[in-house]
Amino acid sequence: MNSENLIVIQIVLPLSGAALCFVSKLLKSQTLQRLIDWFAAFLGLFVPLGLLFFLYPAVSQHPIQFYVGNQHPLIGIELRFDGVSGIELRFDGVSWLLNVMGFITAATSWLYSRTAGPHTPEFSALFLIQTFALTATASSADLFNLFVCFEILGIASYALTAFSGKGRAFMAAFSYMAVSSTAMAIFLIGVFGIYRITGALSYDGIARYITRITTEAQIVGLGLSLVCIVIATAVRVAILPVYGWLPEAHATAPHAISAVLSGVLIKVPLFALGRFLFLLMSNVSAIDIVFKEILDVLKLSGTLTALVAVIFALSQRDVKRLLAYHSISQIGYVVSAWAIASPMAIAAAWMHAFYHALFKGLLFLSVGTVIDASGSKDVYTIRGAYKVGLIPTIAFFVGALSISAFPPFNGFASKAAIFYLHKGSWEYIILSIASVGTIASMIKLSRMFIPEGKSAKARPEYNPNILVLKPVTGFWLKVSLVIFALACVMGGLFSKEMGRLAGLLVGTETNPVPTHLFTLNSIKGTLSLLAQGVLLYLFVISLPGKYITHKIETRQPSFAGLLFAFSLGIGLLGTLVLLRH
Amino acid sequence: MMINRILLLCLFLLGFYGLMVLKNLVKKVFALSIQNSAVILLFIVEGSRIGDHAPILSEDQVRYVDPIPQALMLTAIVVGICVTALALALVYRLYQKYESLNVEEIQRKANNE
Repeated sequence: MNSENLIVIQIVLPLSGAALCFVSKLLKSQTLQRLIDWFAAFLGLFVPLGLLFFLYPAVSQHPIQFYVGNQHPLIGIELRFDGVSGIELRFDGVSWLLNVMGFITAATSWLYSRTAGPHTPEFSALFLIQTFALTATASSADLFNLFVCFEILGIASYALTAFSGKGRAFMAAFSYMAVSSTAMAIFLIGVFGIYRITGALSYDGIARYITRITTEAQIVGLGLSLVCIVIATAVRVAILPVYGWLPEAHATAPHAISAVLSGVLIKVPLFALGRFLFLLMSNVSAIDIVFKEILDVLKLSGTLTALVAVIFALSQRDVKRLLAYHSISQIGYVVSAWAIASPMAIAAAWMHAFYHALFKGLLFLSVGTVIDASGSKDVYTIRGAYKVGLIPTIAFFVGALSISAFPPFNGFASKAAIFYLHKGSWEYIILSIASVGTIASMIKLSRMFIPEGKSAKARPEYNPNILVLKPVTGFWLKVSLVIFALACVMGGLFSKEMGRLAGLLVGTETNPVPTHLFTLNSIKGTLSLLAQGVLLYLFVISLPGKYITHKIETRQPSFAGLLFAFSLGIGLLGTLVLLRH
Repeated sequence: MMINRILLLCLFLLGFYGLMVLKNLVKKVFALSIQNSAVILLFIVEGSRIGDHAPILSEDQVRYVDPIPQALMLTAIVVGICVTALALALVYRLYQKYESLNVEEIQRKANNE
């Protein structure tokens, strides 16, 4: 089978799985329903992973580009000007890497949901549709196609957020949808602007026309259209100032969904945007300066996001909100590296994105297990969480050590790669401070595992029902935790090989991971960060620290605030482009 | 031509204003829909600038409208309907839970849960 067919198959398989799940609803027998669910998930989540393995030799040579549904231009929906119609797909190294990240995280999280729920066929169907949209986004090569993929991704994730059935989850899904639909309307305006000026929608077509642009009016028009597209995507990626929808949505979703939302869904739009922007940038044209400005702003925003979000994370009582703010902070690291736009930087950004998907998945699932067992989400109430069992406890600490960048876990390697890129710049300092905050908040989260002391019973908020933690059972829950935990450890130990692979696929021979990774110096650096983290934690639990964090925690973004932040972002970036030209 | 664009901008801002300021959730969904329609109209209006005939091939050369924006908007309309349907479903579930459509009241009740 040629690689083009393989690509189409691995995109279509999750969708067929979703159809199967819906069909299984017609059956009366519960056992049969469950069997079909399993088969559908195997088809839609695990088989594509195997197909990716076969695709590697072809993709590592050169990108594969082709049309789906190649009709006569007058019959099919024409998506291109120059006579060829159909949906254009371009499967390059970045698509391959994104698919690996997406399928591994999605498959493992789905396994977790077999024990912890939701078990209904609708859940599996929506889950598979979301996975389909992920892989389609990763390989689309046309702006309008990208818009449609973003919308499918969005609609599936709004519905999945609401799946836990709690009132807060419905409200979170509604806010998420309102902000992101507004962003998509702006995205369409950007697509329109680019189509008007270049007369093309496919990345190649735009890249070809963009070199002919010379007049100032066209440059400004194209710049403003790009601003629309970039800010609309930034809403999905959740960086400053448009991250407000994320904490509530990720905190209220079912645990398996939180893992996928935080692990994959916020990163795929970023890299999909990168495939578009960096393709245009490789052309020498008058517009290049606008790209540089936009990327500089994104780098600044990403770096600040890493710091600001970790301060918010440190202030949370709700354990899942704490983790959700961490996702924003970590995506800040990814964006700050991605915006450098060299192949090596993209490889480093992908590595951190992938490793974050693994350890954040692990953290969400293990903390979710504790929440389900204790019935509480409050980090100050839960005690003696180790009683849920050995595997969830080990899983939590592997995740916490990975996110805090301790050697030899995976977060250490990918953060080292990002710090290596920023060496000697102001971003380095900001990101280092953010790392201290990460360690401090992980210490705060680990409080859940402190044995329940005598003093806990004396406290007024003590609720005897909450502290009765039973060991969790459930085969698939443990399997999913073990897979994520092993992946975290292996990712750390084989980080150089991963770095080389990522570098190769984005087109560079240099390895983003520094050659001397586990040295005495790096261990010293980690220990000093740990000491600072402990100090910061001690400050947070001191009286003034508690006052400040309480003030931050009670500050919740309102509905209007979310939209205001969005218009602020678009206004600022738009003004910048207008002023410079 | 300029007046068209200004009117469409007004329509879009109207939707944005409604989404931001109105308290009633159903009205917010309407506002979302208005916002979407403004963008769709923009595509259609601008697409008709190069001609005013339906894009059907015939013997005599006539000036067609640009067919691509229209084809794209068909998809955008479908997407818009899906979003509206899901939004209304969410609003319905919120109403069942909190017996109110006021966003501030719902948020207050949800935070006290």
